[in-house]
Amino acid sequence: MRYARVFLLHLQDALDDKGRMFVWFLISLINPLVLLLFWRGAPGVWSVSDAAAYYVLLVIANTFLSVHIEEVVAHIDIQEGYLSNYLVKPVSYLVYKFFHELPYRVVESVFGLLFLGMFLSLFHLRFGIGDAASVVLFFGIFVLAYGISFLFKMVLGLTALWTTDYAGVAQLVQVVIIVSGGFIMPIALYPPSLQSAIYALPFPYMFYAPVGALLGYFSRGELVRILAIQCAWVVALYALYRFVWKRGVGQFTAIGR
Amino acid sequence: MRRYARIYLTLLKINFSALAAYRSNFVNSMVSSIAWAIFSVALVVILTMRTDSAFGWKREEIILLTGAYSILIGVFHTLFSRNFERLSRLINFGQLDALLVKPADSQFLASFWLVNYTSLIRIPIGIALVWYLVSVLRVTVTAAAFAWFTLFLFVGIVLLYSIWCLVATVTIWFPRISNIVDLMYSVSSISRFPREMIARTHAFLFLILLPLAFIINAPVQFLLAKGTWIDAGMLLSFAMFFLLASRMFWRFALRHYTSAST
Repeated sequence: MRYARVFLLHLQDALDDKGRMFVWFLISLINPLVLLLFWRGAPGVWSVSDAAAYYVLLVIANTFLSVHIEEVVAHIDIQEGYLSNYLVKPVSYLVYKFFHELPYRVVESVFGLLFLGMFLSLFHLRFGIGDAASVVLFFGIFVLAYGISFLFKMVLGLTALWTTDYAGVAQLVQVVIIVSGGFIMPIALYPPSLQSAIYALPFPYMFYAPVGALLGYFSRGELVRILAIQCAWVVALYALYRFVWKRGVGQFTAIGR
Repeated sequence: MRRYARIYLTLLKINFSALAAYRSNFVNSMVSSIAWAIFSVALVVILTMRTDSAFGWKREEIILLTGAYSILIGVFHTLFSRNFERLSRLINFGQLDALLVKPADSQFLASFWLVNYTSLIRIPIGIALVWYLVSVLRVTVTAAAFAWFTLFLFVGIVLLYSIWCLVATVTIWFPRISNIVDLMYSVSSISRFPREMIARTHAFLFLILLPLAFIINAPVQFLLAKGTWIDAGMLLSFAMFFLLASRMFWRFALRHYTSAST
């Protein structure tokens, strides 16, 4: 019940901030649209309609799956000392932050779904999931993608327990996410050696996997394999979070909070 | 003019002192600048991995656009972008008053207060890339071509500054959407692609993006000895128009600014 209240409280904040969130949505829209324009002049790689379907779904997926909790964790909780409030409360910090971030994802997803509706009213989009099993697998992949994204960003935010300014690390990670998350083009179009390196990271399972599943890029067997790898990443990132939390909180100090 | 030069020299010294005092911030900022510099090149390399050309531009020429963009954006981020982020925060928290009561032009202070020295790293990266690609393309760069390239890069910076200033000024009416400045990072990056790409968009979008199409394309065209006086004329016209517009809009917007009793 208390976490439901946390969700509703932050939903109120998110709705109050809808102007800013719309601007964030526009920002997430620009780069894929620019890349789509680029592909119009570079024929032979993939068709413009395939590219359009891919980037539209990537934008929609990004509105929900791109978590920004690390900024709150690093700047407000750790650097400004508000973390001490959570340490004395009978709540799980991880669960609290989960319900803190979720409303913002929901509100931003509304913009994404409106955009999708607009796109579908003008153009036809062919999805790659037809039967019930594929739909179930897709939802599983989508939920686990969010889990990986959230846990990774929590761990990233907690690195501020050791650095005075984590912004450089965050920017570096952002660059790696853009390249390996499928934001430039489908990972299947990268050279095989680069694909192998990218699939060793969690980022393609955050964004590319759900979009690819929806567009039918993967066979049934590959979908099951992706699910298994995502489960492994969730477990690994949760273990890493517990380790970082235990080590980091021990040395955290805050004054006057 | 001399007074403003003295003020700017003081601001340069203050910013350098802050850089030296907070060394971990310097390291983080440097890492960030290098990461984005490498990313902007990697993006174009990845995009052109499976195609030799796009919009009539060869792969190497498209990467050359990115190199020139790196030089321009290195200068721009060093001098201006942090100031626009700061401006939107000042307006949002009603702290612009402190700037307005100072005995110097408010647009000057808003635009030049902060200097991000770590972004300078993008300039040598861009220069090295341009140098390398010019040799790969076997282009003979004459002194005149180099001079025009440098001049039009400078004009491109003026145009980009004016567009950012116009957008940032809008936050005087809508202080909550201070992240509109973050939107400009993505919009500015459109200028590093061939301008023929923008020509194939919807008419409305084309008109909005047209100025961006000349910021990098025009200087690079002159470097490759393909520039025309239409390119030069369009870039100069846009720069003068938008600079004047940003100045007039700034002064108009200040009449509508309301502070928060700071």
